[in-house]
Amino acid sequence: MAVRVQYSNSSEIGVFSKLTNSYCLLALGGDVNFKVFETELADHIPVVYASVAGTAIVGRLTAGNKNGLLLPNTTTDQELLHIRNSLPDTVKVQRVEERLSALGNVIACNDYVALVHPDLDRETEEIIADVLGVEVFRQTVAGNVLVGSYCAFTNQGGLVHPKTSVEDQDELSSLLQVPLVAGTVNRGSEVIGAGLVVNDWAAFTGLDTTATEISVIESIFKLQDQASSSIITTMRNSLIDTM
Amino acid sequence: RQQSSDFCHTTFHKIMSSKKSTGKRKEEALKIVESSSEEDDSSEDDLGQDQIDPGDEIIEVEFEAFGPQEADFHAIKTLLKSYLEETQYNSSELADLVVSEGSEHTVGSVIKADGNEQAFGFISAINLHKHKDKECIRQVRQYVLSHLAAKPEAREKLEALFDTDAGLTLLLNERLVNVPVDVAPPLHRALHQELQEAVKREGGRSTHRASHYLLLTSTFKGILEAKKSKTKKPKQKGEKPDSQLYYFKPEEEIFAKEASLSHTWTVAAAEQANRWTFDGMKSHSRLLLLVPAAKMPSILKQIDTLVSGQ
Repeated sequence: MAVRVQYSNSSEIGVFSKLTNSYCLLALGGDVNFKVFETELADHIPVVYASVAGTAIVGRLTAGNKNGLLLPNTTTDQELLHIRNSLPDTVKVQRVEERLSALGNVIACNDYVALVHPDLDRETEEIIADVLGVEVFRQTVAGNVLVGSYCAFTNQGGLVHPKTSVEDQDELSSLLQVPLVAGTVNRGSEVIGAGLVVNDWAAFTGLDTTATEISVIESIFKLQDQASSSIITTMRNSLIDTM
Repeated sequence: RQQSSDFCHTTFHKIMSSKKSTGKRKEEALKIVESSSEEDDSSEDDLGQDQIDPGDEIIEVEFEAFGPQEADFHAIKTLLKSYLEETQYNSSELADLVVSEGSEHTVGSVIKADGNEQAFGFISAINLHKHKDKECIRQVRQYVLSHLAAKPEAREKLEALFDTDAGLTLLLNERLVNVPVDVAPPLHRALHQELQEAVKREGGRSTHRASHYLLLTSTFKGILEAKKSKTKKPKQKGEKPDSQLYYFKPEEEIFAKEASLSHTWTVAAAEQANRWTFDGMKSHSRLLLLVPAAKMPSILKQIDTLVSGQ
């Protein structure tokens, strides 16, 4: 089920929030509208309010999945401590020394694969592989290096920049092992990462998102039939084990 | 849809001057906040920056005005983001109104620069009675009337204007802070002309006939820069520095002069904490103005003088 949300009159909710399968990070100061996150998610995963580097743009500065969370070097010790204490112990939280500090813009990941900015440090790549438990690929999306801004993907599917060519989509799809579709959010905005946050069973998108865009999102991320998709996810691990 | 009306397409140049290395600045209202950080000339020189000719460095920017189109929706919405301060309201709906006034009635303009696709500013007029059932208009009405709680007479008068078909028109005039004031005369004049045209087209019961304009804008109090104070008000170090009221859009000072009703309130502290603050910018305030439409010709003339006089 895809829900429309606003943060302080802005539809760019992907800037102010980070959603994974095991936690949700939200910016402070969002007012009543952001409570929607809590009502949808609080029964299943911890919803944590935090700031990063004293700012509200937590969605663009952090990168994470169910295994871990990466924070930029500008995160203060207090913030780091607060986040670490609020998240479950299974989630590894690590601060990364990386020149490209807007981690949410340069890293896009699900629980198995990560796409990163081609110029990311070797060290950071190793940390990503280690903390997030993923395979890392240096890629561009529609010729753009900010992979985290121009695509969003989960373990079920992914949405990429509308101008991504079919060949690129095929290539990415084979890397990520999930189906992809090129589309927009927030009434024609190409910045997918800013307008959409999604995990395997919930999606939140900006208030301006049209009904067509919502139906595309629900279809590619397999959000309509929740029961069956969660069974498939949990079964996947046991299937691979027995192989 | 290509722009057709002549009134909606004007081109004008603005020579923007900025000085490096010597710290002197052309005295423009908008530049006050920037120059207050350059009070000490010697420190400027010590930076050893690229010592180009110490004269003006001129950046030529060409601004063009177009009618608002669907493609401008996002830029307009962003500019309207803080229209009601921190109050969440249906800004998408208001942006839609601006776009539809532009595309259906050729009323309103957006400013773009140097062939850039994104709009840096816009102007529009929305009839508040025609759209009174829209959520965003109800929210604007609620916001405006609630701030007038301390002035019951004014509040009643404004409420009457809102609730009857009296031609109360919302004047939306937003742009990025550093767009030069030179864009103001053509914008306001074009809007005025477009409204007249619309009235002529629609005849008697035209919804574009304005009796009053409602303008919601921002002001701030700044520290007077040392150089400016020498020419206008001499200020000693001991004196309070924050008595000068500045308008983000200087032409609005003229609207304020001609307004039949004006009310100002400081922006909530929580919101101020989140904002970038310029050096020397103090209390940021919201200003509400009610201007009779009959004053418009005089206002337009004064705006022309304001800009050409600089």
